[in-house]
Amino acid sequence: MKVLVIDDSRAMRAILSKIMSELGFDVVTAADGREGLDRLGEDDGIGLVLVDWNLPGMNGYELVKAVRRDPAWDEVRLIMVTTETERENVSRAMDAGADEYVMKPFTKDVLLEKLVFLGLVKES
Amino acid sequence: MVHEDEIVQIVQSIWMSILGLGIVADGTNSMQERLSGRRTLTACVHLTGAFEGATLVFCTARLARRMSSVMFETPPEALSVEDVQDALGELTNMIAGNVKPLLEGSSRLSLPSVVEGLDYRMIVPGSRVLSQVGFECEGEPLHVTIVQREAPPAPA
Ligand SMILES: [Mg+2]
Repeated sequence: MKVLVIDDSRAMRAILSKIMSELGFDVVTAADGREGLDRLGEDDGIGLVLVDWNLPGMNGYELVKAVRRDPAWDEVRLIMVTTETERENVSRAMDAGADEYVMKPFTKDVLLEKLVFLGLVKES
Repeated sequence: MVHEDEIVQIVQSIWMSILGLGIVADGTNSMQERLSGRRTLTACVHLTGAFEGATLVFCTARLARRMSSVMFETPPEALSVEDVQDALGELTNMIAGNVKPLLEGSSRLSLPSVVEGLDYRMIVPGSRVLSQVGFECEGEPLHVTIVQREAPPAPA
């Protein structure tokens, strides 16, 4: 499966890309929400998106809403990976259609747990 | 008020899970002294909303490079200035994001900004220091400061 990693930090994109490729995903990246949506539109092999909240231009929450408005992307799983830790915002993101929520800082194990829960990775 | 212990806990958990590096609060507040004469980076994430202020991280360029080398899994000398600044900005973003729920009300984080130089002063105009913690990581100093904007004077 192909995963799209959207984060404005290059260092964070590097960390997430490494973890995801170790787990067997093909990784593509984007630095903001707009670029992320473009990537998603260009590449119909993307089955999972990891998206930061705090991004320049279109933020991650707006991206989640935009993806969920388009039935063509119904099957795409969305995980927010973010420093946004306020409970109210977590619920807003889940209500908008995010499938899972991972707070930064995270460990590989926490991310793996969510991927297993969504059935995207088999429990080893 | 953000308690110093809370900042220490947040910083240690980020350093452990993202960098796999130990970091200890060393009880020093003499930041100017420790960083004076050394090439330094300062990263800043502003908070706006119910709380107005910023989270600032000051550290030596050498430590910033070491930390970004871990994040990029690239030898320190192979990293660009932008890579090093990006990595410190993201670490600061994580600190600010985890400090935010400790503050009253709901606030938003800015994108990080980072400056680098020698013997400069970083000032957030109209703000006062709320909390400050000095750390040591890999034998190098690092400081985390939370500042709060002073309320504008009440109209006469
Ligand atoms: Mg971000």
